[in-house]
Amino acid sequence: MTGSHSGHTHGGPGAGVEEIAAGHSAIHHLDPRAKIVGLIGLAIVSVSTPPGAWVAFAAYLAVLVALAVAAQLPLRYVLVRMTVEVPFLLAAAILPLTVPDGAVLGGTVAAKATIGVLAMVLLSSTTPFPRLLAGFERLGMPRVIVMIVAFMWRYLHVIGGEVHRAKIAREARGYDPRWLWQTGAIARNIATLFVRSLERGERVYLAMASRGYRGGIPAAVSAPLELGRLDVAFAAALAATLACVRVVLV
Amino acid sequence: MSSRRARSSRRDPAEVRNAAAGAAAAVELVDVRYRYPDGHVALDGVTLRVARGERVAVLGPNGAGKSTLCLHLNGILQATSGTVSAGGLVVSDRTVREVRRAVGVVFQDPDDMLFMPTVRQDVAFGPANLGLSPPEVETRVGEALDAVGMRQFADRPPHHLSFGQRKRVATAAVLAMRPDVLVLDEPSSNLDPRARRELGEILGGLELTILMVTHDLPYALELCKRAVIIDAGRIAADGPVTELLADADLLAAHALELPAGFSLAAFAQQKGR
Repeated sequence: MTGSHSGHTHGGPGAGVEEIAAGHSAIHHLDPRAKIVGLIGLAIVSVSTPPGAWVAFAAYLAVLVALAVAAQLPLRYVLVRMTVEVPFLLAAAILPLTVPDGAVLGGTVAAKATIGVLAMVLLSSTTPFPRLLAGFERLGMPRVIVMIVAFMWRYLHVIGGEVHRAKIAREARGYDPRWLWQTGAIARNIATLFVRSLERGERVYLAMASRGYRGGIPAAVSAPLELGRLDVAFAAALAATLACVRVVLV
Repeated sequence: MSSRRARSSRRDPAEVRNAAAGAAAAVELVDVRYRYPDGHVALDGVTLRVARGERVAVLGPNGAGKSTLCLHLNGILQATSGTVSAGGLVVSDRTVREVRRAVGVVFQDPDDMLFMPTVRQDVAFGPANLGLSPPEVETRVGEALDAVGMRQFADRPPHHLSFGQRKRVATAAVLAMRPDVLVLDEPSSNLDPRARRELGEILGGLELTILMVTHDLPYALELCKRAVIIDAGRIAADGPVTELLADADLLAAHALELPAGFSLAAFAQQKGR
């Protein structure tokens, strides 16, 4: 480790997602609810498609690629984000060697994983996180769950900054672990971080109480959303396409 | 002892008049003691009366009890003995809701305050807790963000803002509750000079009672007329900020120091006081 990593607010594999999600394509501007229903719907339909329905899988993939192109997502960015599915692809690659009919099964697993992951990459890269949360909330996700995710997202950035500063402080004092038994300092940093996060949690709670928090998050703090004709058209078009593919091509 | 002298002779004349007229103080503490569960006595008999519209700097060394005092003002902590009241309302479990509306506390670290995904949602949190309707909340949010010059950042997540901007949003989050009293814990800490000046201008323009805990003596001088020094959980001095800061022995006795080279006379001349 030479401390070459310089990103201080973002960093890691998540780098760039916020920037990309703040884009201005037609897909970006759709109501988050339309995208959530459409893209999760597509993933579910894909999962329910029987093994070996290659034409259908190709059609789902074509829809997603078309949307990604319309959203002007950079190819390299999408490929980097898609690497989360590598373990699934590896698992799929073993199938032909272990079970009868494994080639078809493996291919199907690979296709479904790719479609599901691409759909989620598309959703998260065309919708800023606060709007995504607002969308899930309006679709009926319990507000407690929405708030927990919102807290996590907000404080991941704060705590991520602390982790980064601790790393710099270690390196500034010549810490350069090469072996597992040299990582004690990192373990102690993690312990410190845990205590500090606990204390921060307490202060956050006090600050919330100071602003009248009594155990419930009022509805008036939700971000406003407006479902327009275009949004409904998007969801309807996607649903119609999926229904055709699923029923006719399988 | 200089502290006694300060306490008895340095009352602000306007405040004395208000007290005589019997107007309800914005904030009043009478012989407040507070002992933390671990036995540490943080406040050891604090008596302090702040009239409406006054701006008071609360000065003192680290560990003097300043932050503990802040947390008493809106009922987050409740006195072990003695009474705290805000706008004539004595702080108790029954009045704590109304007290928290009337007294807004801006914490030192804005990351402790801003917990919602966007600036707009965060500023809406306080007024929404007051039970206001969504359009009213919306009005309050716009008003408060305008007051700190942050309206154009309403839809940003807090981690996209600079520290100074987050501090301003945290202030807006409290202003949106339309408090009668604004309590600020170390408002200028960690701010760069420009952000410090901008926040000072915002605070200076507010028509509110302000209690400002700080180590930044020039900031206290700039924004407040009156100052109190707290040390070891007691009020050690109370009087016009210009007099307290001119008393080198008093400052030294409580680990307070003006920046090297800072001249009260030059400051007064520049401000035309």
